[in-house]
Amino acid sequence: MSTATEVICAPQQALEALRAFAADGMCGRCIPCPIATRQSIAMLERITSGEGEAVDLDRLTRVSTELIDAARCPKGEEAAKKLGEALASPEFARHVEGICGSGACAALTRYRVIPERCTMCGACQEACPRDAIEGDPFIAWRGDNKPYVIRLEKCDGCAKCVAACPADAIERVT
Amino acid sequence: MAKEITLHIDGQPVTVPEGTKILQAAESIGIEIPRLCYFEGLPASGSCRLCLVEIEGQSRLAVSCTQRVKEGMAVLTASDRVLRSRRFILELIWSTHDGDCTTCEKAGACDLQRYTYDLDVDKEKYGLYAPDEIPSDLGDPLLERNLRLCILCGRCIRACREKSQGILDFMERGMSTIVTTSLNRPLAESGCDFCGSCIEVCPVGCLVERDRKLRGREWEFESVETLCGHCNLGCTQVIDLAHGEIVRTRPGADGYLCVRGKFGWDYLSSDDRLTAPLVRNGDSLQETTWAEALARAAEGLAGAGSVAGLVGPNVTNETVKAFGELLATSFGSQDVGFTGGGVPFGALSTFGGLKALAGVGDVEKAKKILAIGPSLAEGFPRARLAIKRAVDAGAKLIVVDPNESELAAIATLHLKPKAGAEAALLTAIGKALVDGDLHNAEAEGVAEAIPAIRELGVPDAGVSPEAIAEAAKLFAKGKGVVVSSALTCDVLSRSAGLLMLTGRKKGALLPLHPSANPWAGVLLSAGASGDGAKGIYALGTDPVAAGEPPNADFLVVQDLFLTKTAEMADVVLPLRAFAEEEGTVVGAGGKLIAVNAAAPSDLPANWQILADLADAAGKPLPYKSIRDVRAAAKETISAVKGSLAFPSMNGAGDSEELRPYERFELPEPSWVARSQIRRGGSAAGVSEAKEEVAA
Amino acid sequence: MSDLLPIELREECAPLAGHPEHLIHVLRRVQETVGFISPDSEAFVSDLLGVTLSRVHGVVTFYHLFYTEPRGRHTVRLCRGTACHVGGAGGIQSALEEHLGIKPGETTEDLAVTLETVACLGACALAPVMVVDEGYHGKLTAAEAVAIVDRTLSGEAEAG
Repeated sequence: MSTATEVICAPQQALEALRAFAADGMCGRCIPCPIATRQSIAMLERITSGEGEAVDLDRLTRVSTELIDAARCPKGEEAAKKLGEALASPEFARHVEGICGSGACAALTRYRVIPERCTMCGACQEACPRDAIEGDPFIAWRGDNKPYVIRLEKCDGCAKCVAACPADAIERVT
Repeated sequence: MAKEITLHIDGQPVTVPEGTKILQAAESIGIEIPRLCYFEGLPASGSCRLCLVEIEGQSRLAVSCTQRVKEGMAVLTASDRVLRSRRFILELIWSTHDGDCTTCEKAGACDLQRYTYDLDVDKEKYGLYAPDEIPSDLGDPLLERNLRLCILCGRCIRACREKSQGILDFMERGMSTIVTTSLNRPLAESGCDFCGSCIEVCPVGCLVERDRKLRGREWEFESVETLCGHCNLGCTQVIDLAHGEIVRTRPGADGYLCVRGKFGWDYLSSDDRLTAPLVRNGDSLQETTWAEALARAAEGLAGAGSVAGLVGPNVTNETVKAFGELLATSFGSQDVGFTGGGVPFGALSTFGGLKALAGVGDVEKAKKILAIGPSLAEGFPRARLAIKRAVDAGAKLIVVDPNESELAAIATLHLKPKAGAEAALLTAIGKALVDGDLHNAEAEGVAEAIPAIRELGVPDAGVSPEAIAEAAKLFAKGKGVVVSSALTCDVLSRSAGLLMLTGRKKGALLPLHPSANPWAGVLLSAGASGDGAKGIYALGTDPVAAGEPPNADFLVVQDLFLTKTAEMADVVLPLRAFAEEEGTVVGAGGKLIAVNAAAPSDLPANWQILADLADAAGKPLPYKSIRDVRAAAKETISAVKGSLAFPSMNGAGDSEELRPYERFELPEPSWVARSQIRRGGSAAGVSEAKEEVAA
Repeated sequence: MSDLLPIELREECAPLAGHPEHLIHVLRRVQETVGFISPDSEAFVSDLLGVTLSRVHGVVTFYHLFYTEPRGRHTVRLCRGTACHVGGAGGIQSALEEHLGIKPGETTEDLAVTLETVACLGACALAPVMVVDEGYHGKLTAAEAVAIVDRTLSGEAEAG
């Protein structure tokens, strides 16, 4: 599941395109196309959830080239070609390395509090479903108020904190 | 003659008729193009994509199983590009094929396995995605469907459509596509007739006979080809044996077995089979040695005074011949009856003899078919297939059946006589032929018969004169056959009459009989009356079950099981079953067709048992080997000539009243009660059997 | 709801008996008349046209056009296109699934609503888009989507 942010990355785009093909245009009456589509969807799901490996990229590339010959009809060929075009993007390799540059893949996205902007209001902590944010609310007469901190290992990139912060004090890490 | 095309495949020239597919052309010069969905004899679908080849000058790879050859084509069946594509497709298939070659029943005979080996394919390339919901066993009787192994080639769909009821298809779409019945109902509720044609074509281990499982590896099997003995259509049957036991049967070159040929062999190894002779001791029968039993039988029959013999239709010609010879030579009796029950040789003898007998080949080539009788398609699926093929090729079909039926639905003309009035209807058609001058006046024996036919009154069969006239007109000309599951004297003699009137003498009449060798009766001289005989020898027949218990002072019974008749006997001898015997049967055209001893048996050959009995009686048979018996049988058969006297078309039927409608006038063969298949082999019959077996 | 085929439909289709090439046309007429295609309807079509039951069922399950279950009085369609996806269609889908208690492709027990997802509706400027019966609704939040569906249902209750 992605974020509500209005961005999309190349792997997600490829995934959605294949899902749409699988749901509507793909007839399933030849052997290679439905299997290639399903395996490609599985691989892209792994890639966009941070579990992609380099070998997945090899496999996807192979699908995009070989399915052109193997598919029985132009629809399958088209799907293969579109996949091939998408794969040209360097974003795929970066996803395998664990980075979704556009923040579209929650699993590969992390946020951090910008310390100098944090007003320690606590809204982010309340919003976080993962208990990933540490910190205490601002107390005026105390001198040791510290900015809130997002624990990267617990953050799953859902960006609820971003939406909740009134001070624009949370930025994307990857 | 078809135009010839010359092309090159992998650099080799090949010349084939126009219309040949590239894949077939390659095969003709020994080049096998891998394929999973193509199957010889079924329409090609081009869906597996494994058979793609490169054609010089064409940018796209071509589907060799559907594309026809063109003059000057240059085809490459194994270029780098083709091989890459092939490996890709096989890798993909493995990613959905949840099987283990080490324990799979198909190992050694699996196309997927073979191509994977040949091309050194990495089966792990795309991992395995096989959701748990895909069933590994749909729970049908007789055969297992493991959809986790299905590669969606669709061969089973096409085979079922071509050969049987067409109950399978691709359901759903896209990645959810599966091959099954409507609403995924069990086979038995979907009209499956359990012919097993789907199993024959499945390239992987998805479809497997349940009885075959864990009984051996494909390469361990010994295969023997013979004829199926469940009816007189004589389909080739290959029996696979592992460690000397039957594991499976499958069709031979003619490519089809019905449920009885495919699954009805279990009775052969039933625990109830008679394996040793029995002799009566007071109230009970006790096992004894062959020597003792034969001595007692010889003594008993010789001492009885007058002896009669009865032999059934499920034995080889050699057995029948030896039996008749035994009765004549050793016991001085000509009184031997062939209890084919409802198989009137009279009809044949007045109609060109055995040459008139048709086979399935004659039916498939016919242009006009007259199909008579109840449950023809259900009782004789091979006949149904033959008729269907002929009709698909343009033949006209006239069905005579008071009921609606599958064949009636595809008939050009469906006549519905009153129950029991089939013979009357045939007489009426004969009269219509003559009255309309549609008969073949030059045909042998016809001219003499015409005056009498013109004099005939038309019996009331419950069919309108217009329909009768139409039938006569339709059936008059062209290569024609009569196929009948109604085996009364009257029906067959009038069928013969119609064929004679229309000048059809060879390969024209096909009575359908649920036994292996119904014409063997011609090997015996006069028919038996059995009246007054004090000693009776019944071989492979059960008069008690037929409602005519033998009344004899001394009774010898030889059969597969301890039948009701056997329970009454003084001596009981085991009988070698048809599938266990080497010999011949009388087939289409009166030809002798060989059968092999395909199933194992510890018993002596039947003819040998009879010869031993003759020895025990002190009057040996003139046969030293089975070849001698065969030669004698052959001689007798070739002497059978038709008298070409025109069969009686008179009135409603000789002096017999119109009979109530009966499906078969035969007792059920003794094996049916000991088999998982019921007579007729209907799906309902199979489910009942399964419940009984489970109970 | 009865799925027995009305006599008028049977009479209308009778002339097509024995003509398998009219399979799709007859199935459309059945669906237009009854709203969906039941096993009994499939059997009727199979017998009438001389097409095997397996082939009829295969065709019915192949085309999205044919439904094998009764449909809701209202249809809610959610766009799956890229723009809508990015615009939060996923959240709207989850909210509706929870609110109605059904997944896409299913119909509520009371046959009020059928939920579907469809490929791009071509109204990307309005992303995310939801279509209720004939009406297009765009730039929705999950809460707004639920409210619109509820209004449609209660509007029915008022009118009915």
